[in-house]
Amino acid sequence: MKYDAKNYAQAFAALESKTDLIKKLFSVMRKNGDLSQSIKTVKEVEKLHVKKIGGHLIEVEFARAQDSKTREKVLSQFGKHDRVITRVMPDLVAGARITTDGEYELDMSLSGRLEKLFA
Amino acid sequence: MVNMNSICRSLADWKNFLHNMSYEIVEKLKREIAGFKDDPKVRSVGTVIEAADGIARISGLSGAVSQELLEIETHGGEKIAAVAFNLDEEFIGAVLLGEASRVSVGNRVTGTGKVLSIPVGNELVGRVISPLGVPIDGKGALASEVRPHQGGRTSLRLMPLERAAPDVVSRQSVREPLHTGIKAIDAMIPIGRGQRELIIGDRQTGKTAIALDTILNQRNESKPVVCIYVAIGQKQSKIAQIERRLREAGAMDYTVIVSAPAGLPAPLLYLAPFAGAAIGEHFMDSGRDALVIYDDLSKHADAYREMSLLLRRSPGREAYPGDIFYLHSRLLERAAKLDEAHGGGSLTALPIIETKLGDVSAYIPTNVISITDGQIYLESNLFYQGIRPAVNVGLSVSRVGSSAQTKAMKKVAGKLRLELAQFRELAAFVQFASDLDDATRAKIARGELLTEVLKQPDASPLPFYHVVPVLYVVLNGYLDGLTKEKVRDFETRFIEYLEARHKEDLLGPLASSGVLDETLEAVLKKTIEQYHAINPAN
Repeated sequence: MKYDAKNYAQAFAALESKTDLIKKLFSVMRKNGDLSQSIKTVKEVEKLHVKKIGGHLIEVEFARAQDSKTREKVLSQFGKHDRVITRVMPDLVAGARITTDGEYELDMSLSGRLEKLFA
Repeated sequence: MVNMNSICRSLADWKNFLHNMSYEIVEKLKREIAGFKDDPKVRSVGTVIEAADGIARISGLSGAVSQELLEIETHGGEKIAAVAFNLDEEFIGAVLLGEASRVSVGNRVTGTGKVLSIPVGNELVGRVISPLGVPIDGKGALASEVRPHQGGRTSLRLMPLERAAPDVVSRQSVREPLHTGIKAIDAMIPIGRGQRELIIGDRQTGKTAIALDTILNQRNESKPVVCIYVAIGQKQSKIAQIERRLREAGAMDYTVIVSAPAGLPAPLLYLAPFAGAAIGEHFMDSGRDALVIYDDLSKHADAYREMSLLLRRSPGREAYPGDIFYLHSRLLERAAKLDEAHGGGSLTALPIIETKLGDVSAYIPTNVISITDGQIYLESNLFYQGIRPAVNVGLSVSRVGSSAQTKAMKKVAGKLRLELAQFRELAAFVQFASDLDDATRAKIARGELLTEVLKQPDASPLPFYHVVPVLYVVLNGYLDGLTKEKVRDFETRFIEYLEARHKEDLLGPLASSGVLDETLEAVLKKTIEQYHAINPAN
């Protein structure tokens, strides 16, 4: 039977004590020849965990690197259960773009505005 | 330090540039920029998590609807269109309509809220377009572009590729003939406007030739028909040849070619007939008559099978997906004859199916046979015997066309099918003809004459008012005794004679009324006698 990243993540999330099981998870994946799915699996585990504690997976993309003060200010806008990932994306030209749970996007970047203008 | 000279020079350049630009363009742009309101809103997005073989799996976009047009933003900033096909619990299976190699994992996907549409209008006539409605004949963009959001005036409109077929209330029965110009078909398997008639046969039996002759014949028609030829999975060289042939004959003046050659990815082959149907529907909706030829639906089914297997849909018989019947039925149901309240337009469909070794009981042929209103069955044996078009009259049928057949043709050709059937029964005895009684010998001779007269070369369709007198002559025994070799010669001379001497009193009234009444029949009889008097040899 072929398992996908989601199956591994669900099985892992269902187990109680996680710390000593991480190694075992990857051993099982290696045995099944599914190590290529490890990054996907980690992401899925993260997604499931955030969902379980009632938070959201937030991705904030800035056009250029922010100083720690601005970054902290932005991060403080989200709930304590949210998992916030920040990233630098020069393609945005200026501004920022926020994605929630990989599903909803708030685009406040210059590239997005220009695109809207000339659409 | 800023160099003032360079600033002045660049300002002068800028000024020159602005002067060179058209005033209208600048004004329009100014208005757009001034009126632009930036109102950032949360929108639904997705991410490509898998991309291969022209198929992408997308996570997110949980609000996407089936058949929705999606846009994938590639890393290069380019946008590639895709159509949502499989709506799974976790993912969307989408088919890519652009260059699949540019799509990679992690690309952002947005929904458009629209279904796939193409621009349609009178400007498409005479053009060769891709299944997405883009002209590919090197003659430039379409004359007027579609910009409804900018309030631009246009004669083109967007038509969805998938649209529900006209309902029962808006239809009327098929009652107007669509002449193919092929004697055997117009006489025995008549096609009506709004009908779906399948052309089926093995490779190299003349299926496309029949379709092309039908297009060529429309230039003889008093009520014009817009033709749409959809090439699905054909060789580029063949499509180019067809386009050249139609252009040389002047048929591109009323024809659109939708080209989806074999080199295109399966999703585009899949979309091609729907694009053809959408174009045809535009003309039908505007009260005109249209004819769409799907050449061929076997390759279309193969393309759909490829897509479905890549989308991991369960394979069924011959590995086709379970909805292959529905795919063709919903396409062919769009052919219709609308009632007067809906404009009275029509869309006739001539789907083509290629059989393997004459096996009409295979999955796709039986499906399409059951969907259509009849079939023209072409046989390799007849083709190699020199009987061209190689129509097997016994297996061919038109279920609704007889009510649409021109009255004159109906009157003349009524007993043609019967006489040919009798001939086929007796054909086995042809070689023992000397031992047979006179009546049987006469039937065989008549059958041979009829077979000969129904032969017709490629690209030479005949208008019905030429076919009626020729068939009248043969079926009423005026040619009895004539050798088979002389039949073609007789036909050519007789038509020339009618055109030269009886255009006013016979061909003209026949063409305009479509009826061979007693007066015209008397004229025809007299004409035949006169012709025989002048040409006693034939």
